[in-house]
Amino acid sequence: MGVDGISSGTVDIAISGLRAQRLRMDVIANNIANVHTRQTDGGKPYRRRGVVLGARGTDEILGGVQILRIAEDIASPFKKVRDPGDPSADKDGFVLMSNVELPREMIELVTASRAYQANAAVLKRHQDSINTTLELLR
Amino acid sequence: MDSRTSVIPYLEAGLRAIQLQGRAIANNIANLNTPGYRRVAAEFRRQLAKAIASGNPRSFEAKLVRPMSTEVRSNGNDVDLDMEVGALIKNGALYKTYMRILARTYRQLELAMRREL
Amino acid sequence: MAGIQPTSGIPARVPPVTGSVAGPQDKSAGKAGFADLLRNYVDKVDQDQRASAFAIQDLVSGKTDDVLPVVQAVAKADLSFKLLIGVRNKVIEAYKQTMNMQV
Repeated sequence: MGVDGISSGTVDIAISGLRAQRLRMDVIANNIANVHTRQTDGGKPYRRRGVVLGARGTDEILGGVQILRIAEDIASPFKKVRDPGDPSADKDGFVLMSNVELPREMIELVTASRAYQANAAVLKRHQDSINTTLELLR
Repeated sequence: MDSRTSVIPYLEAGLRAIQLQGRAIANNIANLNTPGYRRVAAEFRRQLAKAIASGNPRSFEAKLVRPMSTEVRSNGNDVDLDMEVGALIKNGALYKTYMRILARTYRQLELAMRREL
Repeated sequence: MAGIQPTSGIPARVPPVTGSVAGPQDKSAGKAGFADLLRNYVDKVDQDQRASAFAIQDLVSGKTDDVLPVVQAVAKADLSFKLLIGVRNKVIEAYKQTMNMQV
């Protein structure tokens, strides 16, 4: 059974972890690419995005992790930078910049990458244990 | 009914399904970045369960389908590498299991025919 | 015969033998005993083989994804089957030796 039913085997659970972390890394990459974006479609600077994850299943039925949504970070404020020469500067010469902070994104990237590797290790170990089980029939 | 000889058609049916599934996964992985490519899968679970329930595993045939049920990226491609790897791992484990059981079954028949172990 | 008396502190695990030791008139009962033993074992092997076949069917039809119980059932049935074959071969060998004996 896999993502269709709720109860998943070890492989399905690890794969759900891999997909979740990969999406996190994609979103982080998008944040980093847009660190200097001052104007998006709405006129405002680029708002940092994050992935909201949730556990699937119940206490008895393990379903791995699911991607709940990709949400905008509305808590951290836009950065105010003094740049009077910029056409979008306000009357005091300040420009609003995206709320992406590179140090934070790098930490998130390392975290997501390590989590990805951990899930991949689960897969590898599971394969090893399957092979060991099959040795019974050698 | 000799339970020893009768598992062979079941295992062979399972192997047919697994082999087609393996080819589908390989095709998806090969087309990981092909624009417009939608992933393929081997449809076999329902038919296989039906063939086994009816007691006629030889009648089972797997076929390829395009589920068109996964999210499409900007280049029209919907192959998710992690999903394909997961399917590949499960497929490989089943394949190995069936082959080992098949080998054991043939060995048992052989033993029954010979006079020494 | 009285029960075995432990000479050391280790308690006797062998239960005491009650009644007399089997005499020559019990030989036929002994022969039937072995045939029964063999028949029971053949039944056990048949049971193991059936359990193994059902486990394989469940795995192939997708009723279960868990490989371990199937592998265990197959290995168990295989082992008991091999033992039966071994016993069969020994019995045949013993029979042939008996037939070759000069009377």
